[in-house]
Amino acid sequence: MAWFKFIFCTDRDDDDEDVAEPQQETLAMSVISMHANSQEQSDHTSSSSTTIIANSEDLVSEILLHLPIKCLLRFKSVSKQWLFLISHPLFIHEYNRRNPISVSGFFFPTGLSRAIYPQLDFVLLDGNIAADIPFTHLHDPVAVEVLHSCNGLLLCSGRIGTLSGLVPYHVHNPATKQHRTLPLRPSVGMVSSASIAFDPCRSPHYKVVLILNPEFSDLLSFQIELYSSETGHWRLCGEPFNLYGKEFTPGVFWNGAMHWIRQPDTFLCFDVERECLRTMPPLPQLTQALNRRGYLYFGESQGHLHLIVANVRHQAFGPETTSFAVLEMEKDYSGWFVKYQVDLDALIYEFPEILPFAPGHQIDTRFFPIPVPFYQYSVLNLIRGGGGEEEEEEEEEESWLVLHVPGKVISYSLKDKSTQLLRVSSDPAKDSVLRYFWDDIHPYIETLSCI
Amino acid sequence: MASSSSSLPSPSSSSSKKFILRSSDGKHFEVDEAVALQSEMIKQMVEDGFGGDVIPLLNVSSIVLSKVIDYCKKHVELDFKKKMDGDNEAHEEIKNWDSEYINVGVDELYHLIMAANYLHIKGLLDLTCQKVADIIKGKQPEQIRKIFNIENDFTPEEEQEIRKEHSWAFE
Repeated sequence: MAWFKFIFCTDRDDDDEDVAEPQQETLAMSVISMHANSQEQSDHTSSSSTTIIANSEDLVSEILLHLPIKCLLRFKSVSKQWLFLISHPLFIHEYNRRNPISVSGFFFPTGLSRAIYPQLDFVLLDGNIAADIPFTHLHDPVAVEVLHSCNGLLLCSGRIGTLSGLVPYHVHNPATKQHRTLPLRPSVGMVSSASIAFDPCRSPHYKVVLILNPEFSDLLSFQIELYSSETGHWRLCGEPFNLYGKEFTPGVFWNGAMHWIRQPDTFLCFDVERECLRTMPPLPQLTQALNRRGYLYFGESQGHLHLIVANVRHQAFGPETTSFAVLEMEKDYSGWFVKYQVDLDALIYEFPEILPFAPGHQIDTRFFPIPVPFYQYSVLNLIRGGGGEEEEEEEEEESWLVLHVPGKVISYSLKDKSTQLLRVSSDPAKDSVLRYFWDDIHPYIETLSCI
Repeated sequence: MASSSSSLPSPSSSSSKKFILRSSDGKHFEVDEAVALQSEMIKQMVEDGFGGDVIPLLNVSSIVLSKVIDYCKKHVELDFKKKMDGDNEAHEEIKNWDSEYINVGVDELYHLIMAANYLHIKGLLDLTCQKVADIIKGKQPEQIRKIFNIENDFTPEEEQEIRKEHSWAFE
């Protein structure tokens, strides 16, 4: 409990003379004196003991560390002391260290589509409907778009900002509603990709990682630009490098590094801590050039990097198969291995929407001119069970896929293949095709972290 | 794999060293070294050379101390079993035993917290604090103030402001 010392030292009294141990200069000792003093005036009734506990910041903190974030936010209004404790960076750090990150929901595209399809803009993983979406702080939700998210922080910008550098980036913590507008970038290069890197267990600071085209004339030349919350400045990082391909997927932060797939088949990996590029092993099997949607999923969960690849003829279509392998990257980057083998065929009975020609579905022949076999589903996220290090060793961990079929968002257990409906569109006619893919949505992770 | 704990040597029988703990009301408790050393505070005292014949625990009454010793004894035993029988089985047993153990009245619970904190027994502190957290989890700030006798030192405006900021947490 050494971390408490700092908080407590700020306002502790030095009157614990009855302590016989020079080494044990901890809070427990402060509690002893407090306890001893209080014992004189009160017997052991529960109200006296609760008062003693309430007067001891380390015991209050210890209890608070066991509460969910939503409670902590509510309990900020108990008293000034509680507000101080819950907002203290050391408390937040300790809370993050003890409570593993867990996804509690997803943000769906904001901006224009949010206005058109308001029913699907926020989905909670427990299937409940959020009465108050924890993302209402930004003044102008239409002009501000969520670009990326990482471990509870959202990176947002005005749409035009990604091109011109004239519109600032914002970092937002939807759980605490804390918001920060970053200074404008000094460089003028065009931004190809913007991501935020944040791991509260490793550092209270975050970095915004941009991939720039420093020269407008050379679209295959890139450079990394970084914003560090520690320094509060933007700066260019390393030399420009060349990379072929069409576009970047959103960045995936794993193992202290940001990872992108550069379409069609190149990985880019930037070590955010050491601030250098590093190499990644190629994909194990690439039978044909993949288009944008061929990467069914690329993401991180509980310290694991996952990739799902499937044949997709055209990006407006779903995958050509209901079975696929979930690949996972070895911790040392030595290669990909098959973590799960998934077959969603049985889901068709429950969710006939997966079939493009299911009854009641209008097929627009403009979009589907050729009869290719394909299925209408997308993998939005993979959530690994077993948060703690200890539980990781257990064999049977509960993991889920979050899937989207036309008009619905469902969770699918990889353990027992059960499904849970998370959200149904209120307007099925409008939602007869797939609207969302993994790179459109942003996990909602509650965090107390300050920005 | 050993199947019964009774057939095993007692985890601490090999260490003949005993400690005598004295509660605040002057009662003596003889415990094995392994049991006493579950307390980081006692461990530190012993390392610093303060561990004489009798270790006085000024802030723990005999009622609470005997309950704390129950915890330490059981956890020494279960830790030993965990080493012998493998993780999963013992893990389940610890969980069940803990949930039975912590099923106490609030008064006793608060005294256990203070004892666990004073004696620096991390497992017991976690267990007791989790129990309190479970009790207060669903409560409103007003109820929390009542439970812990906390004075509301916010002005109505300040309180309103904080509540508004986190309105989604009040659903």
